[in-house]
Order: sequence, then C-alpha cells, then structure tokens
Amino acid sequence: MEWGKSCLKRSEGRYDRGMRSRTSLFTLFFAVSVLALPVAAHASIPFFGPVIPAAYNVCPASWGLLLTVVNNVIELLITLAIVFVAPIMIAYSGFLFVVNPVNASGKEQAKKILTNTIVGIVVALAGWMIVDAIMVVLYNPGAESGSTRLETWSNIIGSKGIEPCLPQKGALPGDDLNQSVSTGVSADGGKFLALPSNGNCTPSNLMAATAGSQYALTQSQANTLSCIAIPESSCGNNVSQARQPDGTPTSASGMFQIVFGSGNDTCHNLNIPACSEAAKVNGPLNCYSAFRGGLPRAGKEAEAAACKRAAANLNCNAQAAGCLVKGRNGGFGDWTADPRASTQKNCVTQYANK
Amino acid sequence: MKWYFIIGSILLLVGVVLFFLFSSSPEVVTTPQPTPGLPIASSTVPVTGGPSSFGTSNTGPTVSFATPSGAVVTVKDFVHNGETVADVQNPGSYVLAGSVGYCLADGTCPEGASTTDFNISYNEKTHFFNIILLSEPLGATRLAAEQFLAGRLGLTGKASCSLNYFVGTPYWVNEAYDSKNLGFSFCPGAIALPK
Repeated sequence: MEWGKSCLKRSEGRYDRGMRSRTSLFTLFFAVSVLALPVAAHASIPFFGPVIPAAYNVCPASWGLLLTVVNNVIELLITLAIVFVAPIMIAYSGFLFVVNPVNASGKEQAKKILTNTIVGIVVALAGWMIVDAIMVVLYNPGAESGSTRLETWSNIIGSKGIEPCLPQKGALPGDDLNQSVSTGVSADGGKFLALPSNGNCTPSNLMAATAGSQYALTQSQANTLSCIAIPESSCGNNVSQARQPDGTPTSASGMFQIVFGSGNDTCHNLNIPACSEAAKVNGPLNCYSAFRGGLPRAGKEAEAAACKRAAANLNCNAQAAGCLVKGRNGGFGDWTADPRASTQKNCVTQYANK
Repeated sequence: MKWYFIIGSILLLVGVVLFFLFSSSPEVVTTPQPTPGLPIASSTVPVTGGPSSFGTSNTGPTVSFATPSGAVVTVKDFVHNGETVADVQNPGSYVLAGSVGYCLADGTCPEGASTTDFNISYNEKTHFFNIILLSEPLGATRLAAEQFLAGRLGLTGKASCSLNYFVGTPYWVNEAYDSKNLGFSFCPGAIALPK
C-alpha cells in the first residue's frame, strides 16, 4: 500500500510538470506568433530574394548597396529559419514524442528540441525588434530637424537613399552603372531629341506639377525629364506593363515608371504629400513594402492599389521623379541604368546641366 | 518554470505594443469620387471646361474641337459612348482603350475598350490624343490602334492627320522606336514600322 501511494504521487507529479511545461510552451508559441506579425511585416519577411536587387547587379556596389544586401541576407536567413528549419525541427520533436511514449530521455530530448526551436525563432526575430524598441523608447523616431528625420532603427539601417552604385569616370551626369564612356553620340546616332510641345510631359507641365513642392524642377531638369518621359511611357500616365530585360514583371508605374521595389526610400515609397493626396489616403504611402518581385505582396493589395493610383497621377509621379533627381544630386541614373535605355542616356547628354 | 511565464508575458506585451507601433499603414479613405472610372453616359455627366462643343447630327452625338492648324473638326462623341472611362487621377483625361493603370478604392479597375496591345488616352483641355503601342509587331499594333480610333471618332484616312496626337512606344517594348512620334501610318512623315 505504501509503495502504491508513493508511486501514484510520483505519477501525479510528472503529470503536473508535463501540464506546466506544455502551458509554458503554448505561451511562448503564442508570444512568438504575436511578435512575428510586426517584425515580419516591417522587415519584408518572408523574403526569397533576389539578395542583390536586379536593377543594380551590374554596377560596382557602393555602401548603400552593401547595406541593402546585408539586410536582404538577414531577411533571407530569417525566412529560411522560419519557413524551412523551424517546421522540420518541430516535426522532428513531434516525431520523438510519438516514438518515445514511455522513454523519459527521448521525451526530454524532444522537449528540448521544441523549446530550443521556439527560443531560436524568438531570438532571431527579437534581436532586430528589441533594438528597434529600445531606440523608440530613447528618442522620438518622428522628430525632424530641417530635412533630417531620426526614424526608427529598422529604417536607419536601410540604404537611406545612398547611391547604390559607385560613380564611374566618364559616365553620364548622375549615371552610376557600368557603361561605355559618354561621347555625346548614342541612340538615334546622336540625333537631336526634340522636346514634346504638347501632351502631358511638356517641360512646362512638369514644372507646374512640381511647383511649390520640395521637389520643384529647374528648367534643365524639366527638359531632361520631359525628354526621358517619351521612351519611359510615351508621356502616358496610365502605363504599367513594363518588364525587365529577362521578362519578369516590374512595379514600374506612371509617366516616369517609378519602380516601387527599387528602394526603401522617400521617392520609391511615394512618401510624398502629393502622392498621399492623389491616392486619397491618410498618412504616408509605403510602396516599397507593398510590392515584391514587381507584384503586390499578399495581404498588401490595398496599399499596392493606393500606390498605383498615386503613381498614375501626374503631380505625384513628377514629384517622385524630382525626388529621385534630387536624391542623386541632380543625376538621372534611375532612368539610365537599364541597358535598353539608350534614348534616356541621349536625353541626359542633350539636356542635363544645360 | 515561472520564468517562462514572465518572459512570455513580457514578450507578448512588447509584441502587442510594437504591432500597434508598426501597423501605421495608410488608411484608405472611402471618399466618394466623382465619376469613379465608370463608362460615362452622355445624359448624366456634363462635360467640364474646355472649348469642346458637344452636339448631335444625323449619325448621333458629336463633339467638335479645334485642331493644331486652327481648323475645327467634328467627330463622333467618343467620350460619352459608354466605353471610354474617365481617368479620375488626372481630371480632364479619358482613356478610350486599355487600362487606366490602377484600381479604385472600391476595388474596381477601370478600363476603356479591353486591350493590352495599345493604350489610347485623350485630354479634353488640349484635345490631345496619346496612342501608346504596347506589343510587337509595332506595325500591326499601330494599324489596330488606327482602326480603333477611326471607328470611335468616325474619322477616316487623312482627316485623322489633322488631330493633335502622338503615337509612341516605350523603350521596354521596342527601344529602336522609343524616341519619336511614329505618326499614323497614312499620314505624311510617319515612321515605317515592322509588320
């Protein structure tokens, strides 16, 4: 009788410990799920590449591109850990639980694997987030001083508009990709490219579209962009079917074919008051995170649609173009990077800095 | 074991706070828009501004406007034909063929005549037709666009040459022809295109 009582107590004790263990695991699992939401959303996870943005895979990388690549590698590793490694480890621990119904050491090993997997995910995700949270607590990320904005950690470690490519000697003004030295003769055998005198993309229309904004164009910039709008979109506001040289779709939209996925910066995000107004949304647009691989990201369809609406608006698109030019210190590299963009290069040769 | 609960609770709290911190995605305002990209019925939508004059002839509703040469041309009312849609993002612009390139807040995606081969838009302030060729072979696409426009406007042949128009193609369709007005094939100075 004594032995039987003792045995029952031990059994009850094991049962209680098991319940507590499962409860804590569920708590952790729930916490991980909740934590994963904002982090995954903000860090563009899941991310399956390309690690090096397609638009810049032919140029000598600068500090800005290095930061972008480092961020992409981190996102890729976290994605692989969550999507592939974690499910396998969790399944393996489940397998161990099933095949060791009475083997205490086997169950202990399974429990250990499951716990380590969940803790590993928490650490992987929280590393980024904890730094972000601490910095948010220490200062106001929205504080501005002149044109400088503090922003959160996750924004600071982005490329932040730093030129992704190193400037090349002899390149066109503002151009930064590998290319032949400019001789002033390019597409059309160096023929003079006349500026449009009618339609949406006349220099005067572009200057009017940007007037009063912080991206107001100079006459020279307006002339260059007016010329560039012809090969980019045939001066149309409604064109959005562009494809990359390899045939993959892009998010290029509007008169200047702004590619949302090209960079997480003010210009590509359409984080411009005129664009929010055009899209009829409150607050800034975040078009970079709304697209992946040229297509709207799952769950971000409404934001992607708002970005498309904004980009179709002439004022928004012209100001985004002005933003890109300003970000490149008056350069037009965003339109001359594509190997097919010989006419755009000719436009820069003829009209930039004149 | 209680540390699991404590750590879990703290992480949960931080997660919830950060979720609300980061979930500041733009809120779509459901402000009703005028003529939200739907085909325009001539009896319901007034024409705003511009020296165009709408009327009626034996062949149906018409619209008259001045061409760059100063002559006045009268064509079929291609704006209020139930097919052309307003480009609400650019007031005064209409899309006769192809997509407007975006979807509205209510989820509808306005489109003129259904085609992905070309896009034709019209600006009522400048009476400017922008014809964008979006598929190869460009010669065949231009011919299809010309026939479409001729049908909608009721203009034939040389009469179309007096319009204020641009026929172009983006560099990602054909970089050899992306820099100039290709013109209507039957007009003087038109660029010959591969069939």
